[in-house]
Amino acid sequence: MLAELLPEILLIGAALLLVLLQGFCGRDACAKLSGYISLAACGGALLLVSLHSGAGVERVLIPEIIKLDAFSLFFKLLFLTLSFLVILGSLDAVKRYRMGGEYYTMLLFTTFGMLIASMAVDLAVLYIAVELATISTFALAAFRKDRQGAEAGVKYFVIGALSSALVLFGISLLYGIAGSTSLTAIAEALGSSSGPVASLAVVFLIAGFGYKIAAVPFHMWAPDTYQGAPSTVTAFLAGATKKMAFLALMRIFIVALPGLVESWAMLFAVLAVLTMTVGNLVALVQSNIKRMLAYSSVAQAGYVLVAFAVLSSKADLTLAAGAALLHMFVHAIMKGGAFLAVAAAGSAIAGRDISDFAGLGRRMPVTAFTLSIFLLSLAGIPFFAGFVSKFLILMASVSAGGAYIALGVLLVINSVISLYYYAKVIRVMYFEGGEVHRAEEPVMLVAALVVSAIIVLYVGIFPESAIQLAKSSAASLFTP
Amino acid sequence: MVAEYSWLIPVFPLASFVLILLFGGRLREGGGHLAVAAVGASMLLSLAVISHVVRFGSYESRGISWFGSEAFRFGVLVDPLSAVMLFVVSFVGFLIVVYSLGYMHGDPGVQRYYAEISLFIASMLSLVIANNLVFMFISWELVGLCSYLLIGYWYRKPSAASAAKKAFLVTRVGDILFLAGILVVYREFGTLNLSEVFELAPGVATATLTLASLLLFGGAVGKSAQFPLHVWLPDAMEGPTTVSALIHAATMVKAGVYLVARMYPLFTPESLHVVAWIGGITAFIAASMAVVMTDLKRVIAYSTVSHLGFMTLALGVGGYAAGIFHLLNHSFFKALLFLSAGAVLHAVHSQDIRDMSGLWRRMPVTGTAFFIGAWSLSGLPPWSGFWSKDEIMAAVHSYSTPLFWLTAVTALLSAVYIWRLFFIVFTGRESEQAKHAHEAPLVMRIPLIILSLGALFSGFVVFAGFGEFVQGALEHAPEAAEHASGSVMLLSILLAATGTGLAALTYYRPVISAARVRRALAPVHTLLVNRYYLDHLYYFFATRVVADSARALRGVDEFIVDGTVNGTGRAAVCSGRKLRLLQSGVVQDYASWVLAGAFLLLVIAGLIGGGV
Repeated sequence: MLAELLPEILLIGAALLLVLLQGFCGRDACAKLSGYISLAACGGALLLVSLHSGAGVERVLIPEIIKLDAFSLFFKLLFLTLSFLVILGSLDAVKRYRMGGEYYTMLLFTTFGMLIASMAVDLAVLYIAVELATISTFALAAFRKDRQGAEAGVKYFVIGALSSALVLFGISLLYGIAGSTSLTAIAEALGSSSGPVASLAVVFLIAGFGYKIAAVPFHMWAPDTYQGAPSTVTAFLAGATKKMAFLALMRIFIVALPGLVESWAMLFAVLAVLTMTVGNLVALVQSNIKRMLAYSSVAQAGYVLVAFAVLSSKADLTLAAGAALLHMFVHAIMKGGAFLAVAAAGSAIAGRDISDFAGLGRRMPVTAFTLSIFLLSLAGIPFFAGFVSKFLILMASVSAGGAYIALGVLLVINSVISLYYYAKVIRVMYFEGGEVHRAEEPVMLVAALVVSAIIVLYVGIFPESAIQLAKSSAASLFTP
Repeated sequence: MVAEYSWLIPVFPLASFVLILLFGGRLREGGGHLAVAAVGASMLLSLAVISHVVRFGSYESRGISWFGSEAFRFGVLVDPLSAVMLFVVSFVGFLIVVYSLGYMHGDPGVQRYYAEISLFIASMLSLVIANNLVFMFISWELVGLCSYLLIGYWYRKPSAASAAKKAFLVTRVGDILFLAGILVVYREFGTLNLSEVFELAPGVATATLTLASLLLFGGAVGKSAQFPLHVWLPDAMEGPTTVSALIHAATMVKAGVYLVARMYPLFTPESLHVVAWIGGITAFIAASMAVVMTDLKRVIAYSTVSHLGFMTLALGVGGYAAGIFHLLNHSFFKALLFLSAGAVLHAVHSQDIRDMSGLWRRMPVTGTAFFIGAWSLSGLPPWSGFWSKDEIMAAVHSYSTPLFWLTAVTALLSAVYIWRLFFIVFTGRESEQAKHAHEAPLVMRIPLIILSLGALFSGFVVFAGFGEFVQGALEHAPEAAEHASGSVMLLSILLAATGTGLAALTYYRPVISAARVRRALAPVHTLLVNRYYLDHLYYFFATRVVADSARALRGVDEFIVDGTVNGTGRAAVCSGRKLRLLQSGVVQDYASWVLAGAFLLLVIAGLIGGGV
């Protein structure tokens, strides 16, 4: 069992080591050292997980509590990849924001929480793991010690607390019905009966996690927080922690509540329509790039929800769930990459308005170029990863037939709208004036950007293996 | 095994495209040397791959599949046909890029020029080695895009911009037919892999094959400027002369002929009949127009159209090897003619041949190059144009008598127009402009010399078994047309000689007065100068029929379509603004929204579940 948990042990060990380290060296030196230690820990964990993921064998580590399957491995891969990229990029950013080693400690704790959450098959464990991850992110979001940073942290925390209460309420209702917090036990107890209490539980769970995935109308905190937090943290929030809520939703609803699929899929459909449309429309009029990306994040969560809604159809469920997984992964990389690019641009540009990016194509060619790749991918242009995953979601909704096609059509319309605001940034960077002299590009951030861009292009051009991985990971959810 | 690396051939210029686009501004000559190096590398690799094909036969890679679909399995196919094309594209392309270093020197947009020309060559190379129709189509479209960009290179010049548009729109008609052809093939064969399609072809109904092959030929008609879609090519002279040379000799227009040759197993006797006649008609009308044009580049352009007609004709009448052979030879003498014409324009700063006269003394190297090109093109022995034209005529002879006489007349006209051009431009009394003419720089002269050698000697490959080699590209080769019988060969020489003589007597030693001939044949002359009124017809169609119906539709459009489109846009932005107002920034409001959302979900769940 220890062998399987080695990545987690590595992370928590590194996190504790960092805490100890604070007492032994000066602040700046400590920050630097902490950065490299956590990068190594994360990289090691990533390596271990990717070695595992080939096996594809399911292992119950603690019966009814923790289970390692393809689904959790997929998310571990996602979380660790993104943490790795964010830590890599932070090596530059930490200096600028004068952040200490505790920054990395928080990142490692969050990642650890997310890894545990990916394996939890018990509601209580899942809840605790999610909270562990979330609480550290509250601190991360408030890392900028100014008014905006404080605002970002407070809003995130207050709404987060409210949502945690909703989730906990939903969990307690399920416990009340089933007498157990184990997902499989709940599934057995509920069967296909859909009493009012169960419906209530579903509503609270969706509302509570809806906050974390920033689904409309639970999304209001996201733009403020994404704008106020340091860009590297925003990359992490948008890329990784949001996906943890998706993970929890998938695990709970598919494993524990398959009997209620009619009602929860309908709720997801409603949220999907609202989320896609509102997210894209509001993104159109944003002038701040981080807010624009935040709303685009909202819209992209709507696309995943479309795949969730399709789960109630008679169509190929692994296709729908696999499409959702792939889009989460792709979105993590491209959105994380976009925020990291904003962080990189921040070394030369003071403002965060889209108009401040004028001439970035010449000032910081690599940053501008990779940012363009991420934006094109977000818009869903062929040969970029975003196209592949969005196309899979579309395929899932179209093959489901009936009203699901309408969801697909709405997704396409929304994609078309979104192209406008993504392309606007590219136009500003390359075709508008501004200063022409070169600016130095932060090395580590650029490295993270290039790696992300390569992933985006690779998945876009050779999507088979990614699709295969996503589908087989999704399939492990449906086999009890 | 070197053939395994043939996929790298288009990668070099593609990389140069990306690099020049990104960093060309900081390189000397806008990255021209990088483009030369990349195309040169492609050429060397091509030569290695060609020698592999010559020694060991065709090579096909399994390729990589995109989207997990077999229909999108992209790989490389190098057989004798692609080998010939690889040679033409990379070798002639290389010489033209080298020549560009001199020709484009000092132009403010050279970075764009070299980036686009790299992409142009890259897409043509990938078209040639593609083993899949979709892959071919993507490359085909890229070729079209690049030609659009390069023809309109001097985009501030209105004529260049409109010529680019014309080329794009006209070839687009062909592209759509090509795409339709691909769809028919996919429906019928269930695969787009070339070898698989060829294998299945014998078992498919003739009517379907005819339909598919004619649609594919439609693509070739657009790209290779065949009648009635030939109108774009003469206008495409608005770009830099090097671009014209590249389009005419190595890349764009050869793509259509290549497509027909590539898809040859799909062509049925019926569709080949159409191909042959279209080719014959194109060859004739283009040659006749070339006789009366006064713009140096336009004459050569019409001659290209005419010779593409010859190639199509050859393929149509079953002279597969003859058509490819002519394609090879034409690349050399046409690139040579264009590049020497470019040197002339460079020196004289005018395109009108009436401004040029007696340039020989000032530009002996260019003059010699042009002379060799003209000799080869006119079909006089013993240089390259003679051998391939001869084979074509032999093939046509055994196919159809009326078509043969049409070809014979065209061959005569070929000699007339090219020698007319030579005599007017290079002989006679020195004109005012010619006095200031000077020879082109060395970097432009060397490609001319190499191309001259090609134009002189490429015809002799026929004795080295070229025909059998190219026939090897076909599984079921048609009967190789019998070698030129003595009488056909004699007639061909006679025609070329007569044409040359006529041109000499009119323009070198004016025994015949051109003006009087013109007066005597006034109606014909008017018809030709106005290009058979085809351009007028299209113009009329585009401006009147299309535009009038467009105007009629505009009313509908403005109200309904625009209303909807603009309405959507306006509504989107407007509602975006409205929705933003909900975002008050007050955390209490956010919390209320969360609860309101939870309530909303509750209501919906209640409606579904029926009881809460």
